[in-house]
Order: sequence, then structure tokens, then C-alpha cells
Amino acid sequence: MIAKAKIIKGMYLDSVKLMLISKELRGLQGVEDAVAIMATKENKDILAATGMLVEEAKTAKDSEIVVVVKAQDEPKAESAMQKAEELLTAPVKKRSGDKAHPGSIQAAVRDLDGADICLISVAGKYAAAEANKALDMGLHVMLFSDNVSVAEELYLKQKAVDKGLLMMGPDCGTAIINGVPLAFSNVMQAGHIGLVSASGTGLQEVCAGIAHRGEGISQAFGTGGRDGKNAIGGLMLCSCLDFLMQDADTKVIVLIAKTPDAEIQAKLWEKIGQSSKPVVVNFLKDMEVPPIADMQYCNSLEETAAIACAVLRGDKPMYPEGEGYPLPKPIAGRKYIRALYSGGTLCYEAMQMYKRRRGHYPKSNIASETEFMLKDVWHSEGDCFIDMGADDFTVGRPHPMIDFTLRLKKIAEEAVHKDVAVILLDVVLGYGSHINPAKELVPVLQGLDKEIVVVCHVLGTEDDPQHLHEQVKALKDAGARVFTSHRRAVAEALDIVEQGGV
Amino acid sequence: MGRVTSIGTKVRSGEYRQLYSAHHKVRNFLAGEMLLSVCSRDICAGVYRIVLDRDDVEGIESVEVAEGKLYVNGKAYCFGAGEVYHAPVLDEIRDYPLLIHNLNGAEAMMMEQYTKGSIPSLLIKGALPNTVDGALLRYYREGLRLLFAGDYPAAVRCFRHRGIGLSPAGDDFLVGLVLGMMWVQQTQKKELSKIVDTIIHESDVNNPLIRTFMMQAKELDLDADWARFLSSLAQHGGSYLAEMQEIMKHGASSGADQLSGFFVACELFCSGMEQRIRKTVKKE
Repeated sequence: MIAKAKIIKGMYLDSVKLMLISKELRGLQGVEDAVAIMATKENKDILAATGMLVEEAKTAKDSEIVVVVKAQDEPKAESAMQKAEELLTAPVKKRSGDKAHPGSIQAAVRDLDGADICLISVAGKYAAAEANKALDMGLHVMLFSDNVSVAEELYLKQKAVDKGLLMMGPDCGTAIINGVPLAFSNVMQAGHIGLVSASGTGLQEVCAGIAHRGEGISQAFGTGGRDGKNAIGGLMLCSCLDFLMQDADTKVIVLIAKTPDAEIQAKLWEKIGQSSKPVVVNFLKDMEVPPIADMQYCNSLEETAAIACAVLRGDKPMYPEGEGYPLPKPIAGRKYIRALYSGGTLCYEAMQMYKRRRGHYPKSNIASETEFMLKDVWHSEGDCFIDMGADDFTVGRPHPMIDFTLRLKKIAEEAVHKDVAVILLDVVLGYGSHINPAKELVPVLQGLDKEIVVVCHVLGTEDDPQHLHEQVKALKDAGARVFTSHRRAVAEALDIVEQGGV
Repeated sequence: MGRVTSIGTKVRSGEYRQLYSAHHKVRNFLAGEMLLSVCSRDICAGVYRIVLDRDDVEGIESVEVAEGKLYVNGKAYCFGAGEVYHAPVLDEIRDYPLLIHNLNGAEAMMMEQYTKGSIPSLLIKGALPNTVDGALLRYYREGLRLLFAGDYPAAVRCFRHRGIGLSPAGDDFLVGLVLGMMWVQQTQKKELSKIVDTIIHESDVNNPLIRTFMMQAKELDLDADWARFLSSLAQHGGSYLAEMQEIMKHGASSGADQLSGFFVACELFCSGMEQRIRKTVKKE
């Protein structure tokens, strides 16, 4: 074994480069260890302990960086030192890839003549500045990014209102504009129901419900979840309502939002009162609503779709027949539901349904009251409803609608508990989502203990790229109880545990 | 004329030419015993930083700060009061169960998504015995054992000046430890000043980069990423995870090493912590 060292003088290096050099050298054939390190007394002790404190490293000053290599023989050590030299003097690589992409919104607009909407998906700290640029250029904005401050959101939305533009988001995951699905959206036929929503999967679930009833949409706007808060003032909810009230293609308006603050509710009720078109409202909570002509309040996303279609047709709400699964026989000790959602609003709606039945919420990572918040999001307790699309699970990972890895792991983990009766899942289809969710889920579902019932809600339309009926069939064949209505899937899960488990 | 995105309150007037370290997004100039960092726009604001509205800061050789004026390589940059970055004052924690819930969630995520080459990665993955990493790991584990046993001076000696990076990982850990303790002291009203003084004294800071970090930690002069992370810990929802991710991007492993020190401070001084890092010591 032989060690060689080189002191780096007169070069200004950063830690990232030092680490990359260490990593590259360690990967060379015949190299046992390598490090680029500050030559402090303590680090020299470390080098000494590993047989790497050669003479040159000993003479390095505290403030100098030393590259030390330990290799099998002299030629390999020498070759590694040459490589180190090369890496030290290599210029910083900036960007790779030879395909020309526009480097700015301005360049993109130049490339795509006539574009009037800009979808922004960049790291949160740059998002507001990019949205601001787009608004300045007269573009409508769909801001997919999150981690934008309330103050920035308010500024952007006020600017958009002043300019007569849309500012959807931040954290707006779904919109269908002029028939074009943006981000996570389903394929919808053109029709006469116009939607505005401060909830992504809420909007998708209602759209799918409308499609299941043979109707289509005029527009589907997202506003971002905070629009209904006092701090934002419902600016985009109101703007989009105004648009739909004026839009000739829209005959029925649907408004969905996770319970807006009281002041914003008042503002929205006033606006709805001025509408000459029927409005169907769902604030995802049981609540008293003011009597407004031609306004109907709904308690579930399925009901919202059913009523909107019924109002459009001048008919009764239509609910397809149940799937007719017989309740399974109870099994002693199996009593809990473990819900693993990819859609935040679906998880929220399921929690509301649970509360209606049980009088309290289940444990959750998205509980708004501390009492019901999971102590550790990675360990379920009792009946537990988890939104796996929340930041707890998505930082540094793709969203669970795209990547099933973490959810599959969690399904397997939940299934080993002998007190779990039901695993409740959602599968969201459409653009942006995984291209074949059933292919991911089926092997895992087939491997589960047969005492556990899997209840699965598939959100999608027949025209979605994943083919709704194929997904439903594959999941049913794997033994899951499959529903295309979220309300019915949750009701099934609750029915099973309430009759004493499986 | 160029534009300044932010300029920290502790950037003193003067001319800075002596470069200490350089990266295409950050150039650190010696400013007495400390550093003045000149950064591109995607680096967060800090009290010793000037953030320019530029994609990179390559080629910057001199910076001159005068009353309300800034010259970079002789070229004027404008800024007003709106661009001056003040470190935020953090409020006292009111919902302690929520804080502990969030701290535990954040620590779990840090331990799961450890940055390669960082102290958490060594603690979790281990290292071959006769390597630099193996030797470092032995010191870090012993340091942690001593910290949890309350022998702070001996613990600090296991970390200081040890590890890879321009700011050795062990020094970054001590910065995070001090930052964590100062934060606990300010937001939870626990008296830890004597222990902090001992740790800083024993840290024997001899490197301008670490001195600048340590001074910011001691004074809680948080940069914008740390400020957002610590504020988010007191809030509902999981935003603290995204904020923590921003810190993990600092340097090669600096952010992760500082976070590991921060979480050790929490394990030591916040009741209800799940002791995830302490458990790695027992694995020995």
C-alpha cells in the first residue's frame, strides 16, 4: 500500500468540488481511499490513523487543503494523483444537453407565437419572481410551484386582477383551460359546466363525476388552496366566478373550496347571489348556508357532480348503482382503517365522512387540530388517514400520483399489523399521473394477507391515457373492492369496520 | 447599473479584495477575521452576504461597500432600504406538542434522506474501519456519546476541525449545535448560555468561514433559509420539510452537518424528542 499527497496552493475551491474530487478518486481502480481535506491538526490525526499522513501532508498548514490518496501500488497512486490534478483544474460544468430550450418566459413566448398562458413549475423561492414576469408580459399564470409566501401570493393576485388576468396558484395542480388539461388533469369532453376550485383532486373528482354522467365542461379553473383565506381575500375565486358568470359556454357553475374563512364565504355568497346562472357549491364541510335562489350546497364531491349535471339537464341527480360487494365476515381483532391517499382533498373528504359517522376525526398527518395529528407520520395509530402527497412524504421525491414506491412500501407495512381491517387507497388517473398505476399496485395487493380488505377508489375518465376500465378491472382481479366514486369507497371502508371488522 | 437582491445588516463599509474561497455562485472575501460572501440570486439572504441579481458571480475580484452604494469590479450596483436583510426575531414557541411533532418529523426525514458524505450519512451507513471515513466516524460517535453524557468540552474536541470540506464537517456540526441551543434558549426560555460558551470556547474556531457561521449561530443572525425552517416548525402542515430541504442543499454537506448538530441540541434540550441520533451511538 502506498500513499501520496498534494497540497493545493493558490486555488480557491468550494466544498462541493472537494467532495466530488474525493468521490472520483475513490472510484478509481486500485485506490483504497482518497480524500481532499483541510489540513487541520485534527484531520492530520485522522490521516495518521489510516496510514495516509505522508510527508507532504505533514507540512501542509491548517488553512491549506491537501489531497491524499492511498492505493495498492506506486503506479496506481501516481495515476490517481494525476487524475486529482486534472479534476482540480477542470472548469466548472454548467449545463448539459444539446437540445435548445428557451431560457426565459420571454424566449418561450417568442418561440410559441400567440401563447397567452404560462405554467410555472420552479423551486418556490424563484416562483413569485417568474410569475410576476409573466403577468408583466400580459400572460395568464398557472403557478404549480408551492413555497410562495402569502405576501407574494397576494401581490401577484392583486396585480392579475388589475390587469384582468388569471393567477392560478401557487400550489395549483389542476386546471383545464379551453379543453387543454394542465398539470394533473383528466381528459374531459367539452360541455356547459364551468368549475372553479381551490382544491386540486377535488376538482378532478368532480370533473370525473361529470364525465361519468355523460356531461362535459366549459372551463375548470384552479386557484390554489389559500385563495379562500382572509389573507388572500378570495381574489381568484371571485375573478373566476365573474368569468364563468359572463361566459356564454357556461350554463351551470360549480364552486369547490376547502372551507373558506368566514369573511370570504360572505363575499362568495354575495357574488353567487348576483349570478344569473345556477351555482353548485361544496366547501368540503357540513355547514349552514344562506338561502340563495338557484344555489345548491353539496356534502360530497360525488353529489356536487351529480347535482351540477342534474341542474344542467333539468333532471334528478343520478347516482350509478352500487358495486354490490357483500360485507365480509368479521374477524376478531381486525378493526382499523388505514387510508393511504395521494390526493389531499380526497383524504380531507374521507376524514369529514369519518367524522360524520364517528363524531370525531381519525388520526392524520393533515389534521387541523393537534389532538388528531399523528405523532409520527411514519407510524400509523388506530384509524389513520394519511395524505401521502403532503410535504411529509414528498420532499425530495416525486408526488405519489407519479411514483408509487413509498405508497407500496407503506401498504406492505400497514398490512403486517393484525389489527388492520381495511386499507383504503385512491388511484388518480389523467395527465401527469403514473401511466399504469394498476401495474404497480397489483403485485403488492396480491401478496397481502387475505384477511385484509383493500378498498380502492379510481379517479379518472374513460378518455384518460391510463384507460379507466382497464385499471378498474386489473385492480378488481387483484382482489380489491374498486369504486369510481370516492364517497362510495369511503362508505364501504366505514361499513366494513363498523360491522365488526372483516 | 446592476441590481442587489439583498445586502445583510452586518456587511460593513470597506473594500474587499482578498478572496478566501470561490464557487460560481458564491465568492467569499476576507473581511477581518470573518468573511463577506458575494452570491448569485439563488443563494438565500444572510447578514454577512450580498446577493446580486445575477446567475453567477464568477469573475468578481473586488467589492466596495460605501454608504448606500456598492461597487462590484468597479461597477455600481444600486440598493435601498428594501434590500437590506435583517435577521428575523423568532417568537416564543406556544404550541409545544406541535413543535415536537414537527421536529421529530424533520429529524426523521433528515436521517432518511441524508446527504452523501455528511455526518448523518456516516452514522447511518457506517464506514470501513481502516479508512478516513471510518476514523472520522469513530470520533463523531465518541463525540456524540460524550455530548449525551454531558461532557461538553471533551465532546467538542472530538468534532472540532475534523472532517471533509472547506468547513470541516465536525465544525459545521458544532455550528448547528450552537445554533440549536441558542434557538432553544430564545424560543423556549431555557438557560443554556454557560454550555454554549463552553462549546464555543472549546471549538477553537480558527477558520474565517466557520467563524462567520459560528458568529451567526451564537447571535441567531439566521440566514433566510434557516429562518424559514425554524419559523415553519411552529406551524401546522408539513412546510418545514421543504424548508429543511433548502438547508440540506447548503455546501457539499455543510447544511446536513449543521442540521445534525441542530437536532442533537434538540435531543439534548427539548423533551419529547425521539432521540434518533442518540440511538445511532448505541448501535456501536
